[in-house]
Amino acid sequence: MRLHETCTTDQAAPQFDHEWQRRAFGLALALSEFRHYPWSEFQETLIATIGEWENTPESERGQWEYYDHWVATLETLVDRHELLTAPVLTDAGDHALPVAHDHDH
Amino acid sequence: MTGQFAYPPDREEASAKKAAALESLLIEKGVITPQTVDKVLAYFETEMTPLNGKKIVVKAWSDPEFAEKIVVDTPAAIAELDFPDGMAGAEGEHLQAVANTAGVHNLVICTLCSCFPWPVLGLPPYWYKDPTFRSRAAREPRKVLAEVGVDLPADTEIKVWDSSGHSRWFVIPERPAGTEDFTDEMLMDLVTTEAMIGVALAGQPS
Amino acid sequence: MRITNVPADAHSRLPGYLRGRVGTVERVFEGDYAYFCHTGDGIGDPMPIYIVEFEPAEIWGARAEDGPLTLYAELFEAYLEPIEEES
Repeated sequence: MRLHETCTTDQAAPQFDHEWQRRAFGLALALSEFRHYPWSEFQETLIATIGEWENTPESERGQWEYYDHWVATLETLVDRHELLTAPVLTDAGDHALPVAHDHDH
Repeated sequence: MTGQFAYPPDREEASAKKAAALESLLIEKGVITPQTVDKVLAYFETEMTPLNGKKIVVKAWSDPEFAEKIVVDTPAAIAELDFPDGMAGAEGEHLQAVANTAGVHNLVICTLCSCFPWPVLGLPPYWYKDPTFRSRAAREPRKVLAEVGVDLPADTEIKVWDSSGHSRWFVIPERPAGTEDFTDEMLMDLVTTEAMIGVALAGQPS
Repeated sequence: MRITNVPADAHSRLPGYLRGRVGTVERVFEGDYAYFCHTGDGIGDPMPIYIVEFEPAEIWGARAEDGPLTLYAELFEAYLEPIEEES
């Protein structure tokens, strides 16, 4: 694979190819900002997801699409932290709080 | 037609739908509000940009004391500049600058995924995340650099930094010759994200 | 001090191309850094992180690129093991 000739980023161009990617990015960040998971956990899960793709034979795995892995990571974390199933606690400002649970894995 | 050359539009759609569904469900559940993602994106897109990195580089070029401090204690040096909050958040806790010199050229990569110093460079370009770039840059950086127009003298040492831990490296490129009379603004124009990753020299035309 | 990398399993923060290679510690991060959960390859409890320097010939052997080149990676302590100083 040859890199683009000058390998430069057009600063004026949008960072994302599609709006859904931009929103997935914002969502992952938001959930971390709200302390549902530390950012390092998102990263480590992303690394594992990408690693799985890289270890799959080329004929079976499909094209490289970075945001596919990003969304898969988001799904994994939402499940792992039961964000859609556990009861939502709120603080005095009616903001959802992360549910405390044991990390005994 | 082999599977490799077929464009899989449905896969992209699948991710797009999942992302949208996740956001809706989380809003429905009350974990986030309908404005949350917009707010986070707005903050990120205005505050976490390469402009921060350019300011750091230009200051290092003009101020020898700062130039030394930025590589020895990057977070402390950055704290001297008036950057927005959130610099120490995700991807910002362990920023570390490495400086190019006459005999040394630095290149930052992340072979594991795409770790990148967001607070000073914004989001990484698409090629930085590409598996081929990530592996080739580790294995044959001189060739990769030559392919993108960075021809280094044979005796220049290339240092490749693999962001596999928590440090988020970025490069202070060399100040181009003949810029002694440049204003800060003019100097900032010479600094690109690519130069701060190490795949370009400052002042190289794009 | 020279150190060698421990063979590790897939789910980890150890770049595959460095597994089993020898490098030199360049810098140690004081303090302890935790991984978010036990990964099965020895990290999970807080431990120091090291910046390790590698020679390309050590990693890639004969296929290493020509020209002065050094590679640095950050590795959790669990990925490293000491080897005897050569006298």
